[in-house]
Parts: sequence; structure tokens; C-alpha cells
Amino acid sequence: MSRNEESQRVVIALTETSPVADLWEAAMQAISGSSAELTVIFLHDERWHRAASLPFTREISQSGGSSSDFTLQRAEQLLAATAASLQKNIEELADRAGLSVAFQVLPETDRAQSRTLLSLGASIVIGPSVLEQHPIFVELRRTDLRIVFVAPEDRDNE
Amino acid sequence: MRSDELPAGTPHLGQQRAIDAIRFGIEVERPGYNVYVLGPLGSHRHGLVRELVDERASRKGPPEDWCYVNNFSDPERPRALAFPAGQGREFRDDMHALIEDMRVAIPAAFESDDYRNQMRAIEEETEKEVEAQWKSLEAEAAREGIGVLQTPTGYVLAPIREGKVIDDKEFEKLPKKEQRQIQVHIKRLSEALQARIESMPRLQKLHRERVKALDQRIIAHAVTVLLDELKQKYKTLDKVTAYLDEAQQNIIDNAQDFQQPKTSPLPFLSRDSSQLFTQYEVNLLTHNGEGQGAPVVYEPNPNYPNIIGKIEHRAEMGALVTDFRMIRSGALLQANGGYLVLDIYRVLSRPFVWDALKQALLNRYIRIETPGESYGFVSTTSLKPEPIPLKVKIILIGERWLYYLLSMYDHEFDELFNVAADLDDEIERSRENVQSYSQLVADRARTGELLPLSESGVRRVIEQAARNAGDSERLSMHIRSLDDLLIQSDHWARKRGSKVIERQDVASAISKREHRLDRSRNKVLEAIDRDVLLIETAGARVGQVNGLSIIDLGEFRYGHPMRITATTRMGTGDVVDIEREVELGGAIHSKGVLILSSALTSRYARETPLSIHASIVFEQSYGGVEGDSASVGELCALISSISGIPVLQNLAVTGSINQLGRVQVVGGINEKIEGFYDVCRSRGLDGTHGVVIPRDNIKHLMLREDVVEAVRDDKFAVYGVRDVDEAVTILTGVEADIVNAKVEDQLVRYATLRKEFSEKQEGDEQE
Repeated sequence: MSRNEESQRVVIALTETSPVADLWEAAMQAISGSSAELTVIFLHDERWHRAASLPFTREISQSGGSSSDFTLQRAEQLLAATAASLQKNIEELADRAGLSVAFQVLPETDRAQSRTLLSLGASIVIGPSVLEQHPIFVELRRTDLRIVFVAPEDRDNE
Repeated sequence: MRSDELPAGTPHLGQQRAIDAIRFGIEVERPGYNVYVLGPLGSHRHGLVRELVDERASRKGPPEDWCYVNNFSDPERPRALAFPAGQGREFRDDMHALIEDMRVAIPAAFESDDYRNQMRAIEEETEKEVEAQWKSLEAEAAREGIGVLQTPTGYVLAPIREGKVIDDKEFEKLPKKEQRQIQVHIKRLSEALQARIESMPRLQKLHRERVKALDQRIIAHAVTVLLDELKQKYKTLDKVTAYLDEAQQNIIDNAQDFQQPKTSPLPFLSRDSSQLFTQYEVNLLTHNGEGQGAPVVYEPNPNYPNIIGKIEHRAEMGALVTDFRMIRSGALLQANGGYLVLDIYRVLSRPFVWDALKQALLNRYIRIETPGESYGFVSTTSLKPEPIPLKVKIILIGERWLYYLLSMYDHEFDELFNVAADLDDEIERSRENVQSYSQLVADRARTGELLPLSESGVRRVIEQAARNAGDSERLSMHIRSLDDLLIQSDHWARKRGSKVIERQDVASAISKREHRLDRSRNKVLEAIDRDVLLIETAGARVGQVNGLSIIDLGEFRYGHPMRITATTRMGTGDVVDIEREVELGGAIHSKGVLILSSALTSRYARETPLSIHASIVFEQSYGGVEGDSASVGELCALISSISGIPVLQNLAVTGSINQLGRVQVVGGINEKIEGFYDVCRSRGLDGTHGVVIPRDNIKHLMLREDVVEAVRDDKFAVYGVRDVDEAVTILTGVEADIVNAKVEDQLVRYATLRKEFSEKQEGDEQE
């Protein structure tokens, strides 16, 4: 039995700025012809929350340049909106491919939980190239886990 | 000679004057020389007009073709283009082919490698400019230890230490001076960031302009070749080449509209780019083939849209919309350069049409608009198509009364229709005309694919034509009546298995037709037979005369005997017309009674005052009396009453008189005689019955065959009289001199009595 014919658990790791379509394409190539359990993990960084904790931080609108206080509440709001948008995007892609998908949101600082979710029973982990030097991935690369990093329009950086 | 052996006859027998007038009218190519053809229904006026107009039109060249095209600078005012005959259709097809070519060429141009490369170059250029701005800001921020974080809706500037954004706790640990510096840097960088963001629309505008210029270059390249071919083809038509220039410029100006966006947030509102091409289509309104003559249009339903044209609308998103493609031409435009034939009665009975028609003729152009707009009733915006020059000859066909009515009350009518073609209702029954009429009968039978007529059959048809003319010396030219008679005669001939229409078939057709229509006449005869309507046909009565009236039911008319009575007594010289008193008498009838009063005073006892009181009435008449044809009868009744000499009831009388006692002609003489004949026949003809008619009416006699036979057999008599004396003599059986003397005596006696009565009355008053 070839690897493509086995039932696999494929994990896609995402950040706020990841090329979703490219990552999805790489995942589809990886599971081509076989049944697979697909999990998407959104690893969000803490930058917005950290910046929002400062009393003088302001958000400058990209349409018009007006500025407003950038609070923790605003950071939470942005994170939730980003996660929802990514989840919707992923679910639409999964619908079209006829696959079911699980979606998880984790802070990148929660290394233990992230490592568990990424590696537990996974056959392949697909992530954006920006995570290549992330401590969790540095750790995972030391294991037997097959990891694929995808840069925009470049899906062969295994 | 049988009708099928007769040579083809002169077309439109007896109508030479009308033919000359129509020819004159259609040959004079000047404004106002439109034609009105006067003639009754069924006079073959349409056939005549069509024949003459077709003949003239075939000798003229075809007129220009007319199209409406989009006016790109003002779409509400579509532009009219004229083409030599046949080229309008060609231009429409050329533009259609151009659109089809553009449908392929334009998308292909936008998908070409050349376009993509140039587009990529523009995008890269713009991206570089944007990136350069960001890079410089990010680099500047990095130098100050500040990071630019992107959020889904904007940017956040935050201090960075060791590659990480510091939080509030870490910030608190920094020296106060550094904290202040960070805040100063962030403030300054925020301002720089805002300035860059504010400059983005300018960059975007610049980008759009570059893209637009590229699109225009690409589309110009794609369509110029296609349009140049057309411009070359139509180079002699200035207005057309100007339109093509504008179309080209419009395509280039709107190049980006031809690129369909991939997705639309509101798909039902998105514009299908294929629809954009429709604005370059051509609405061909009139087209004429080369080699064909001028158009001849007959519009049977001349309502406003059918004559002037219309602008149609279609429902779109709940609103009614229109454009130049929905302009429809009317008969005026279809006939432009040729001839338009209309029934005036129909034109006048359709709202707004007459006015619009006159406007078009006076202005010499046709403006297609709704009546609401024309009269200023509509305030919503619609199209105002460019008016089209009008050069049309209108031939109105109608009855005489309408012509005279228009002539009298419409001051523009004579100016616009100054050629009248008056069709003759009848022709003289000369030897030549009878021959020509026979040929006409033969022609109509041949044209109608009817059986041929025998010589006697033709003769009977000619007799009926004279009867229809109401004159034995004339022939009716009512072609529809002739056709009807021939068709019906054919039917009865075939019914009895004959191959030829004989005299008996024509007679059958006439009698059967009468039978179908004579219910009313039979009711009258029945009422007379049953003495419901009192008419005596035997004996003699003082002051009672059988008069003759006519009942006209349009398709059928018949004679109706009426009893006229007069009573007299001493009085002050007044003759009372009871019909007039109760307003049942018409103006002409009243005039007749006044004339007979005058005739009475001028004939009798001229040197004594007229001292009678007389009253005259049509007995059992309830529906009004009109005409003066009973005035001889009324005067005879009056004379009988005054003289006391009875009038023979086996006779009836008709005729009008003048003040001098002369008997004058009346209409419907045949039907009147036949009306009394029918009453007498049903009671039994004994050779004493007859009618007294004006002698001048003798030439009009075209009596039914059975009446003619009765007269020939001395069972019935027709007396022609010249004056009242002759009428009195026949009606009373007493010499007029004797009757007149008695009248004179009685009038003198009345005068004497009146004088005595007056003197006695004056004496009584003095006492």
C-alpha cells in the first residue's frame, strides 16, 4: 500500500498573513487520491495584544489615514475577525473539495499545546515559510514528521 | 353578343375628369398639391387611385433609406441618417457585422500577451512606487526601534525590542527618557504614515489613468481597422462618416466598460458588456430596393402610431425604458418620397391624427413622438428623435360632404389639399356609353371570375344601372352595386345549372335582394291592407288626396302612400301646416307649404282679401315630414276643400310647385309610383288606378317590370303634368276652369261673409 492510499492526518498551520490558497493547494497535492483527516491551526502572534497594552498606541486606517485608540478590546476584535475570515475561507475550500476540516485557534506562545496539536498522529504538517524558524517548527523538524513549507507561488520547499 | 365575347372596355368609364385631376395632383411635385378624391363608397375609388398612383410611382426612382442611430453626446435625441436606396439596409448589416467583429476582437485584445505585459508593467510601476514609500517608512521606523504592524483595516506603530513588540510591562521598565523618545518617534512616524496613506488615492488615480490609457490604446488598435473600412465605404455620406467617427471615439472613450468584471457584489445590477455593443446598432426605419419605384402606402387603420410612428418601451427593473432602437416608423415615413393613401373618414375618427398629419405636411418634416408629448401632456423624459424631412404626396379618399365640410371649417385644408378629384356618380345613357358600360359589365364579370352574361342579361344589368341612377337617361357608376348584382346573378344562374347569366338571373338577383330587405315595406302594405293605415284607392273625397312619400333605409328605399287632408272655413287668410305647428315638419316642407299658400293667393280672387282659414296635415304621420314633394298634393287637397269638388281616390300625386303653379321634379319617383302601385295591386287593379307626377320626371322613370307591364296593359296609369291645373283636372275628373271658378266663387263668398261679419261686429260695438 502506497503512502497516498493510507488514511492520513494532514495539518495546515496558518498565521495572519499566510497565503491560504497556496497552503491549501499544497495540502491537496499531499493527500491526492487518499482519504485524509484535515486540521487547520491558526497560530496567531501576540503582537497586536502587546501593542494594544501600551497606552499610546493608535491604529491608523488604511482608507483615509484617520487614527483611533488601539485597545486590547480592539486587538481581540481584530483577532476574532481574522480567525473567522480564515475559517470561512478554509471551509469554502473544503466544501469544494468535499472534505471535512477541523479549525483551531492558538496563540503562538502556547508552545506545548501547539506542538501537541501539530504533531499528534499527523502524517504531514504544511505551514508558511515564515514559520520555518519558529521555535515550534524548529523542534518539530527534529522529529520524523514530514513538514512542508510553502512560500507564495512556491509549493515545493519541502 | 355575350359578355365574354365583348372586347375589354375603357377602364374607369366616365371618370376622365377625376382621372385627369388625380394625375395632375400626383404629377405636380409641389407642397400643398395633395389630392382629395371625392366619391361615394363603392365607387371603386380605391381601385382607381391605386392604379393611377402605382403607374406614377413605378416611373419614379426609389427614395432614400432612413435609419436612426445613437446620438453619443445626447442619447435622448437619436440621430437620423439618410442613405441612397438600398444602402440603409447595407449599413445596418455592416454595423451588425462590425459589432460581431468587436465582440471577438475586443475581448481578444484584452486577453493578448501584449496587453497583459503592458498591464503588468503598469502594475509593477505602481507597486514599486507604493513599496518605495512603505519601505522608506519602515526603514525609518526600524531605525527608531519602531515596527509597523498591519491589521485587517489599517496600521499600528509599536516599539520593537529584540524583534518583538514590547508590552506595557516591558515599556514601564524602560528609562523615562527612552519612553518619551519612543512616544515622540511614534507620533512623528504616525504623521508620516498618515501622509503616505493620504497620498495613496493620488497614486491609485495615477494608476487608473495609466490603465485607462492602456485600455484605450488597445481598443483603438482593435477597432480602428474595422471602422476605417466602413468609413472608406461610406465616405461620400458626410453625416454617416461623422457618425462613424463619433462611434469610434465613443468605443475608445468607454474602453474599460467592455471589460466584464469577474464578479459583482450585486450580480443583478451588473451590466452585461455584450449589451454595450447594442448602442452601435442601426434602427432601419425605411428601406427601398434599387430598381423599385416610389413607395405607395395605404394605411387601413390610420391611428396616430400607425401614421406618425411610435417609441416603444420595455420594462427594466420596474421602470419603462427606451432607446433609439425602439423607434418605429409610421405610414408617413414609410411613404416618404412616394404616396400615402388614406380614408379621410377614418383619419378624422382617430384622435390626434388629422392635426398631426397637417403639422407634418405644413412643416415638411416628420417628428416621431407620442401624442402626449406632441400636445405637452407628458412631463417624463422620453426620446426626441431628430426630425426627418418629409416629401410625401397624400391622397385622401372620402365622401363629398366631408370635403366640403373640411373646406369650409378647416382653414389649412385648402392650402394642403388643393387638388380635388370628383368622381362622377353617373354617366349619360348614350349609345356609346351603353356600349362601354356593357364592356365594363364584361370586365367586372371576367375580373370576378363570374359566369358570362347573355346579351339580355347585360341589358337587364344596364336597366338596373339606370334604375340606380334614378334616371332613365343616366347610368349609375356605383361599381360596388354593379359587382354585387353580378355576383348575386352568378349565384342564381349557377343554382339553376346555367353556364350563362341570363336576364332572369339578374331579375332574380334584384327581386331576391329586395325580398331580403323589404320587411319594413311589407309591414306598411299589410297595415294599409288591414286599414290600420288609411289609404283609399276607390271613390272620391273632398279635401283628401293620396300623397306619396319615400322611406329611405340606406340600402333599400320604398314608396309609402300617405293621406293628405285639408280643411277650410272663413278666416283671415292663414294656412296652417299642422306638421310645422307640432314641429314634425322640416324646413323644406314648411317652405313648400308657404309656397303653396302664395300660389293660392296669386291664382284666386286676387282683388279680394283672402278670407279663409285652412289647415293641412299628413294623416297618420308620426315621424316627421321633410321635403316639398307633397306640395302639389297639398294644394289640390286645399282646392278640393275650398271648391267642394272631390278628389278621385284611385289616384295618387307627387310633385312640388312654385309660386306660379308650375309643377317641378321630385326625387325617388320610381319608388313612389311603385309604392302606390303595390297598394292598388293588392286590392285589385281595375284600370282606373294611377299616379300623377311632374312631367319633367318622366325621363327619370325606370319602373319595375311588373309596373311597366301593368301600364302597358292599361291596368295602371302614370300621368305627367306640367302645372296645377293639369293635376287638378286629372285628380278631380273636372276641367280645371270649372274647379278654379268654384274656388274663386267660394273665396269671394268668404270675403263677403267676412266683410258682413266685420261690419256687424263693428255695429254691435258702437251700440
